Amino acid sequence: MARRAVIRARIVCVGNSLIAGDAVGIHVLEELRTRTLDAGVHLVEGRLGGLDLLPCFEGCSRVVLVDRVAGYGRPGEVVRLDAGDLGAAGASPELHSGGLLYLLKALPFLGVTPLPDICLIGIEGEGNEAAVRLAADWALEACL
Amino acid sequence: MPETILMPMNRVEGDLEVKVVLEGDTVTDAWVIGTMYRGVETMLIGRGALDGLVITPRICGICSTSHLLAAAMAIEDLASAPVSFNGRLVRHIALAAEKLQSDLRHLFLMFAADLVSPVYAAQPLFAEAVRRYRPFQGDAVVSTILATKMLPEIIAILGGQWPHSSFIVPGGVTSHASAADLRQCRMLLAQFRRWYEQTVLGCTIERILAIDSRDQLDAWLEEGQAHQTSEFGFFLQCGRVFGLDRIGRAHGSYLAGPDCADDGESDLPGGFVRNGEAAPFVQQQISEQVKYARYHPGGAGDHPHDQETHPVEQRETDGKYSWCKAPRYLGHPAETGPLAEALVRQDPLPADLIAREGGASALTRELARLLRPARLVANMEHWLTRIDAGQPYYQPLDLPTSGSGVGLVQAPRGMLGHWVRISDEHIEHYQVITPTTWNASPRDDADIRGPIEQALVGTRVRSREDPVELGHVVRSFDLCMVCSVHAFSRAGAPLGRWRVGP
Repeated sequence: MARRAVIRARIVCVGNSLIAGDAVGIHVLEELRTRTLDAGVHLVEGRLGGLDLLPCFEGCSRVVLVDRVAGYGRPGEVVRLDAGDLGAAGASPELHSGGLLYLLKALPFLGVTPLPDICLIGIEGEGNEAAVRLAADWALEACL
Repeated sequence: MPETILMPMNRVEGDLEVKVVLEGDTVTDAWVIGTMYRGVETMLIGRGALDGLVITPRICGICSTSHLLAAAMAIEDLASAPVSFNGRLVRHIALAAEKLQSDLRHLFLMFAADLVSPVYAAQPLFAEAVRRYRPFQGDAVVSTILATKMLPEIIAILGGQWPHSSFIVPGGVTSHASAADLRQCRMLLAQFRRWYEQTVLGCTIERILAIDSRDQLDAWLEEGQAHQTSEFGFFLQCGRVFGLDRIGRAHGSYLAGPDCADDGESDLPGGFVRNGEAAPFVQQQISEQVKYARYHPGGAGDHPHDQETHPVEQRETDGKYSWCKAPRYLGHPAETGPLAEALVRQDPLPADLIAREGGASALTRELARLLRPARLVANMEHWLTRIDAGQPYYQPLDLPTSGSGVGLVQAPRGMLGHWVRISDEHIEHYQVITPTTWNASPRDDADIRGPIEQALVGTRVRSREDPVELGHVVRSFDLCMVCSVHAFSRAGAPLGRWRVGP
């Protein structure tokens, strides 16, 4: 019987496939489904999950979020934000609505052990096919 | 000289602006402004008869089960089709799990965050409030995030996915929970009950449900330290000391729809309570008014089966100010939510609190929200014992090519309704009235304010720089403007900023 591989990293793609302007994270998910992932890398369809994505941060050493970003580059540009950048984004609790940013801010206090390394592969604006492919490449690289 | 404050609200799960007129330190008028157009109703016209099941749950990332269920029930009503008993129970267990999570997260993550405002720094309970409610890391915040994490697992076991589950269909559910699945759900629920009783209540669910008056509540509080230091006990004391029991009076009218899983005691028949008088629920008494909402007044009538959703362009002069319509019951505005549910069910404690305190307050609404899980957990446990894993979870139905139907659900924030009309196997008409549309309603055709607008009038503000009292009043309705403002955008008004204008 094949043994289930230990989860080393999760790629969590978030967004809303029904809203064109917010669908690019899901397009990256679909692109990643066509790729061959290492046995220890799990792909998660995070959709609009906020606090409920907490289990995705448990039991692995790295979480790679994929989402649309605003204000980090030119439209279509792909950026990588690491823990420090994410901490600066949404530093005020007023900007949160119990969503993903709230979870990222609360995560250090929730007793998650070990706390995984977290980064976000962001696509500025609605994205395009090239950006989706590049973001998928970067998400896989970030799992290494 | 009256001063107008326009307040973009944060932590209300969406997009909302509140405009108030302050004379001295008191609010003399208020407008609640839904700032975005949703458009789901228009999107559905011409689509396949069952497309509401796929599209409408995307109205909200929190209440997706509620929308899915309402959409399925509207089709069942249209087809006059019976529903599998097992299926009905599974749906309501999933819905109740969604409500449990929503109620507790709202209170400790969203509402209580305002109790650490510097405005309260001189209050005796402030330091303890900060320890419990500090955003991201307060004890109550962390405890709630961890304890409510397990609730979607129940939905996932029963339905395979959450959020945006798709397991509810006309006739029942597509999943077939095994005896082992049901055992696992019971285990998770028992784990949740332990946390709720030990941490939130400081006593058993049965003990808290036996309290039927304010005097008994006060006596319960005095009974021992476990009660006083529990989250419920502390919130009650803190709410009174900070004055939450003196703000947020609305119209005194409350609405809850029928919520029937079991044909038994756990069911809610629905009803309308106004000035203490209860009336049975009749959905035909619902109307939608658009004098102040950005829609054309078209349609054959005001009932949601007739009302249309055609947006009008923004003009400064037409007086229209919100993308929320103004729903009315028997012509009256009505608030909906856990407090309305409790009053319609004639639970004695909230009825006594309101009678003794001269109406509902921000505190009464939140106490009702903190106590609703007691009843929900008990109901879920009962429903889980009623499911017979050997029986079907789905009953096939014949879908007529034409007809109309309504699906009504008690969603986390109150009554949710879907109205659908099918013609030649396609959706000809669809209307959704979310709970927040009731609560955040603009003025109606008779210029009567919506419930939150009314609740804001008379509120006294300690600090113009941090009018936290307005936040308490608005948030006590647990708004979800993603639902009620008919689009979703990350861009929008900057949150948390005060704009003070002439």
